[in-house]
Amino acid sequence: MASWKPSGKYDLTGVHGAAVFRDLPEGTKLRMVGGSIVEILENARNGANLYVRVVENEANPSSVGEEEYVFFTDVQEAVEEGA
Amino acid sequence: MVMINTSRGDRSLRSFIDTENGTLSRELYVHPDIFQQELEQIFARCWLFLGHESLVPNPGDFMITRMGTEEVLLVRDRKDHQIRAFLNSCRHRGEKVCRYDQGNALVFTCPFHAWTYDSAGRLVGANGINNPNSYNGELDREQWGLVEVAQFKNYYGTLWATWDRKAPSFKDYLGPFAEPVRYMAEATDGEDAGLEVFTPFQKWRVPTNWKVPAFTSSRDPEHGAMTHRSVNAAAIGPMRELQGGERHRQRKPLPRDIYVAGDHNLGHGGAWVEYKQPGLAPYVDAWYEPGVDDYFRAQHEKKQEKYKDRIVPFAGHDSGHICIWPNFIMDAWRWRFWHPHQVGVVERWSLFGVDKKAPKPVKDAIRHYAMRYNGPSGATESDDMENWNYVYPASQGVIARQHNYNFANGFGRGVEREGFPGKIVFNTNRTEEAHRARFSRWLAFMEAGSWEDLYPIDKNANHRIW
Repeated sequence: MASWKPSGKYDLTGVHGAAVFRDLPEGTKLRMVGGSIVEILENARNGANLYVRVVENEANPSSVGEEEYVFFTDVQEAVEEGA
Repeated sequence: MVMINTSRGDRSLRSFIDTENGTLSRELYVHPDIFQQELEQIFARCWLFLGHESLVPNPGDFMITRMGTEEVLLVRDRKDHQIRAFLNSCRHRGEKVCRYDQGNALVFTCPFHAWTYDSAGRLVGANGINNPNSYNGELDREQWGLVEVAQFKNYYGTLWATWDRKAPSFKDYLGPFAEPVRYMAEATDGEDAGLEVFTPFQKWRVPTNWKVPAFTSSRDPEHGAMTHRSVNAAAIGPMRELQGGERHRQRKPLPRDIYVAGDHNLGHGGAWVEYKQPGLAPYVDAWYEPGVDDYFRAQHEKKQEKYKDRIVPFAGHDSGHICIWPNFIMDAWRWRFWHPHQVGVVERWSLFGVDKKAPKPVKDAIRHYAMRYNGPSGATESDDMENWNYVYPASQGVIARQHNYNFANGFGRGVEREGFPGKIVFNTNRTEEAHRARFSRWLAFMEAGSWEDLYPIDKNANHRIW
């Protein structure tokens, strides 16, 4: 299980958060509000929607590998692997 | 018997049509109650033309089209690559889920509460969908997808749909007109579904009732002499100022008989050209731009090979256009359809087909000809629009409504022929038989409780009223 820390590159808070979210590249990892970690497969580039794959989910390990659409309010923060 | 409320006694729709004398009331074109019934009885039941597959070539491609007064989202699914059609209205509060005419999208997100649909129309998200203080995961995604058309058909690249699950199959709906539609969707070498359409395509609104152009511009040979007299002087044809400025493509067809045919049961009709022998006539040079004839001549030779032992279908190339009931007019290079907006407002869309494989100079020549000929910037239809525009206001007045339109050209001279299904009436080639057939079908739809009462579901139906 990897350790994840907040991304220093992508800050989704504040007045610029929507624009940063809109431009998040594919492959970026995100921590969801429920605690799972997902990887962006496709960004709708509308500042609101992403298509992701679940990478880690301690609460529901069987969901790992599932793909789903997420809305920006479901996303807590962008993350990167810790040391 | 469908009734219309009037201030001095109700009238049935049937009473507005004088089948003894070949005339009909202007009320059919200007009465708002009749228009509302048309939306319910006709546009909610019929197979309607939506567009062409080349408008959404890639996964996630979409365009907004229309069925009656309603917007329809046409989208090619990102996963199975199938094209589907949905009402462009969110299931939550009805907002448009797509507000662009055309593009490519991962999802369609309603800007109101973020109900989000994928390219197969499935509900895949909403703001708060998993929030324990909101939907808490209880919103049934399976149940709340976009409203999809009841039946959809990709017919050799042309896209059609109906809202009515009880409607007949598309091929049964077309009846004997299926083969000409297929033929007109061929490339110039005879390859099935070998066309693409130019984008962006032409759209414009005309202040008139939808039936003015949709019912009577196919086929209406007597309007050309006056309405389009000036067009040839403008040299808009493929040969430009050569060949006397003729606006049509040059051709020398095989021996043939030309009728105006109207299918009073199906409502389709227009020019019906019966060739007397198999094959295609030799190619005739028709283009001003260098090299274009070389391309089409080579294509034509391939098509001649395909049809060397077959008589070509009765409409399409070298013949004139046909109407597919209720609002689609087609010929070899133009596909035109009429979307009603209000009783006195219609929106016209024109698609122009061109060989997918044609080189750019050939596509450019076709496109330039289409622009010179058709649409608001062209010459021919500007002439037509002037007429269509003024029909409506000149028919609205109290006095005007007291005087019927005359649809009697060729009245009583049409014949049904053995060997043809339904109620196809053949008439001489400058008559209004196809227009009358449209009104036979119109009345049948307006009076029918369901498809059970309509041909071809009811195979014994006879909708011919005149």
